[in-house]
Amino acid sequence: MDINKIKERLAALRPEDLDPEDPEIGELLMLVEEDLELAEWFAQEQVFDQNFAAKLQEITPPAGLDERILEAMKQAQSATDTAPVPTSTGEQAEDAPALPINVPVAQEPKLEETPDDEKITEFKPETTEEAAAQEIPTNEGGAPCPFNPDATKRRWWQNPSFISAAAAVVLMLVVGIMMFDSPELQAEDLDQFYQDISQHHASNQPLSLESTDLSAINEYLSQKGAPTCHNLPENIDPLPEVGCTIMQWGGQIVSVVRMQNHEQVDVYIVRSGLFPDFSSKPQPQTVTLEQMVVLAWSDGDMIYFLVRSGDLEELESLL
Amino acid sequence: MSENPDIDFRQLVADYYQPLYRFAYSLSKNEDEACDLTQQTFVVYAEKGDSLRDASKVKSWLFTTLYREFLRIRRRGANVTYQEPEIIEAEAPQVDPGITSKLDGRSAVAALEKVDEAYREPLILFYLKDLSYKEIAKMLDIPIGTVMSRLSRGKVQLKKALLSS
Repeated sequence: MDINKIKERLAALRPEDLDPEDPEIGELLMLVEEDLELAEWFAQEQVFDQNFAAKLQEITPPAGLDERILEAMKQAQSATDTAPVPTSTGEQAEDAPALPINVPVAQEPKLEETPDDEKITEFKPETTEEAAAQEIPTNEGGAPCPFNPDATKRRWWQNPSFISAAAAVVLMLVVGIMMFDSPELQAEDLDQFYQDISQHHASNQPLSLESTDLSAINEYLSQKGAPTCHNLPENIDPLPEVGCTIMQWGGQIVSVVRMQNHEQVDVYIVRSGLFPDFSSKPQPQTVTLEQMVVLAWSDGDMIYFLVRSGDLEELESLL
Repeated sequence: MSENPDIDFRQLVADYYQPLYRFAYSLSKNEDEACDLTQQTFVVYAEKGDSLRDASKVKSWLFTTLYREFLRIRRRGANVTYQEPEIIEAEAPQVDPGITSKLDGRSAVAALEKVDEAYREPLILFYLKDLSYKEIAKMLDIPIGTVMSRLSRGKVQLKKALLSS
């Protein structure tokens, strides 16, 4: 191991992680003991880390945040108690905190807001005296408005039976769409991803590695901590690879494997954690964007997005 | 959860709202957004924390929830950044550890902002010291070896940022 590699490994260690019982750390510490220059460098590194960590600890939340949080939690829990929020998967594993991302910030309870249930006025039958005490509506001049029975009538579309029927139709449409599994995904994040990879594909970004050998491409991607390419569909697998690159989206590394099929085809590969709900969709998904088509499918821990120009028919020829 | 959620919530918030806020602020660089992220994280816990049976995982659950919420909001901003094709950095520049004495919390976060995104997030978690390497790897969904290499590369960039400023 050369000195740069040793320093790279040492630099990633926190003082509290220096466990000499750990074989790898123990070996590194031995090297430090044997090399005075390295020991001096490491000591400085540790001081730098301690100082920098201490600076981050100076960040303090604004006063009262804890109480606001507690209030919001109580409101959220009482809302949950009265109207349980169904989870998208039905059950949340204790080590899979992916579900919370479905809760938008915009809906979070705000302390200054009146909860919806407080806005509801309790219905009380009106007594004769109360009714009599109510003011009669008047015009601007103070003259009583003539009674107009039509004004109190609901419009036809305000009729409760019509509203019920409309609601039923909407519900049936929603259920129908869900049952028949429209190929167009509605998830906001996924839509954005489709657009971004289409733009990336159209911009013909240079490759980091040019190779026709998929195993060499996978080795490169693996070294970079990027998702690797396996188990391509039958008609896509034989396409010759051209190379690969990596990009970043939403804090995650995305692998891009380029293939050639009369024209350029890019396969974007992400870890399934990026879109946790994707695997529950029917496979494959097809999406048509401006002069681009995307074919998406999940396989194990990965989700693949094949992008090429053209229309859906051309893409389907690959299926 | 206990039969008295108020007591549980109070203790939970007392234990974690400050480290979560630091993490949120380090990610967002915005006080209001950091407050929203921190609050939202606890609200999610209030709504769904019943399913979290293992108390030892609460901390990493909260951090992961906050991080995913941050990513979800940020993705709305349509960001695509491209990594350097080759991410091998030169040796770290020599930095006097005393350089940090000129910093405060905000300027430390500002320096972290100059670090590439892929390296910044593990580096923030490294310096906040709330999570183990294993927990950082799980949260970022990358192998632990990748966490380590990103940390050292991120530190190179951080030192360069401090020197240049």
